[in-house]
Amino acid sequence: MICSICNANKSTIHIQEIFNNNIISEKHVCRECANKLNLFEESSLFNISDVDISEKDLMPATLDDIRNTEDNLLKKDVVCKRCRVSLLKFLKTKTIGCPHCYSKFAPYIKSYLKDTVFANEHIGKKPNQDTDIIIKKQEKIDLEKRLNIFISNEDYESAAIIRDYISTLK
Amino acid sequence: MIEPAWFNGDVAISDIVMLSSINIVRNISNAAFPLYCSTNEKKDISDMLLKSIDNIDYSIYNYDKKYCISDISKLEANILYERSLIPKKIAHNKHVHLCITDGDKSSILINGKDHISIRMQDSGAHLFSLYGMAENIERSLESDVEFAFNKEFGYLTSSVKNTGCAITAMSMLSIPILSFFNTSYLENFYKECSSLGFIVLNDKSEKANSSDNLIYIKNKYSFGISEADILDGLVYLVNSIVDNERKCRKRYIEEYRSLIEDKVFRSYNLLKSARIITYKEVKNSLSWLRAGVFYNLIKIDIYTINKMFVFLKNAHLHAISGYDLDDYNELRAHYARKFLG
Repeated sequence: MICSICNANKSTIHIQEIFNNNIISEKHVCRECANKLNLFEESSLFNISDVDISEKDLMPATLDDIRNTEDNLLKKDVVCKRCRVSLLKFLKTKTIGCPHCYSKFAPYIKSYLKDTVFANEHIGKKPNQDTDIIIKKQEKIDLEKRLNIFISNEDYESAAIIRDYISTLK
Repeated sequence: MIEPAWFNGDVAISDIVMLSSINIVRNISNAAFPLYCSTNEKKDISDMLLKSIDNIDYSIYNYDKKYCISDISKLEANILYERSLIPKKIAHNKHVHLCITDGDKSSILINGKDHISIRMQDSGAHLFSLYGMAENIERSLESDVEFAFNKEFGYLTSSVKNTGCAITAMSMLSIPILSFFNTSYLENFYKECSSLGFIVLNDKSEKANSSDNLIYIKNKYSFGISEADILDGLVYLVNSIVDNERKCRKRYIEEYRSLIEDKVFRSYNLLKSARIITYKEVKNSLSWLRAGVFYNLIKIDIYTINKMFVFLKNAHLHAISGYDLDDYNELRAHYARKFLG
């Protein structure tokens, strides 16, 4: 729509005056005319000249934009050299061809895991590592069961010994 | 036919928890995952792994039964699938091997979706001891083979969802009373499960409704969480649902005795006198029979119920009877009556 003041530029600002749900007046103004008229200084809400936003930023991402990014991915053609699995296949199926892919697609895998699992790195067992933690945990569970039995039998002396031993495990 | 060891059941808990299992998945470093491997590579890998399985200390587990999945008959493959020892789509792939110990307690699948998948299963919910045994096997394999590992991502697997510790812990529960009387508790329980990173499935491996009386609880992911925390979480969830089912069983029998007794005896007599029966009906009835065993209403043991749960599936019926049929419903009713005596 063309600016109603200068009749030349494309209007970017639309002003509607509404009273009791009825539109009383409508104005379509371009940015230059709006600055000349000091439209926003009068209303003192904000100064439009301070806010430097391009029109594209204000627009939400359109379907075309999304298609373009997918096309870009295809054009880039990120393919693992060893197993010929492409990035697009990973994005669709979340499956991967070889251990090498993990370093090739690392940023994408990281962001996927961050979004779904809310975790950044591996916690847990590592190769050639003793996992006494699990064994100790099992031991603790068994001891706690025995502790409950002693308490229910009112054998508090034995219970105290086991309780102290559990606290050393922690 | 050889029967799995978990049929005998764990006396303390087997009226609710049928089966628990641990699955550890590992891949060999410097080799593509099986679905992207050439047949020669697969052959080398399976030969190497079979050798190192032979080296496993026999005092822990004796993998005496070894199948090459592409060589066995379709019926045998279906039986292994019905016992959930192999995934369904793997049957046509070459160089897929399965090693099983006596009583199906432990099994190792080579060249499935991943190179190695170690599975331990047993009745009851002794998840920590199951994990301990699975890890023993993993450690003895580790001395021969180098596993694919990355500091950031942990153990690498073909499915990104499973990376990290690469373990799946699962428990299978039968909760007829909760799903019949107290569905609102179950809805909240399922929400709690998903907030703790676990997923509840029904027997068709879809997301469970609050009216399903047979459920599977398993962890969704194993990345960013330690093995001990996964097992801890599952044990907590299983214990809380078992406690609640027990409480409900005691509470509702006082209020609705005739209704519960009707359900149990109706299921019992359906199995005992039906002439045509589908597997879905069998499953539903067996779930109520478990409650009947808890209340001492009927005189059968958990062993028979577990046996009927597996042996009334199509491939098992085919193997027992020797008939290759399109529709097993009539035969299923015949064997149901036979098992109940």
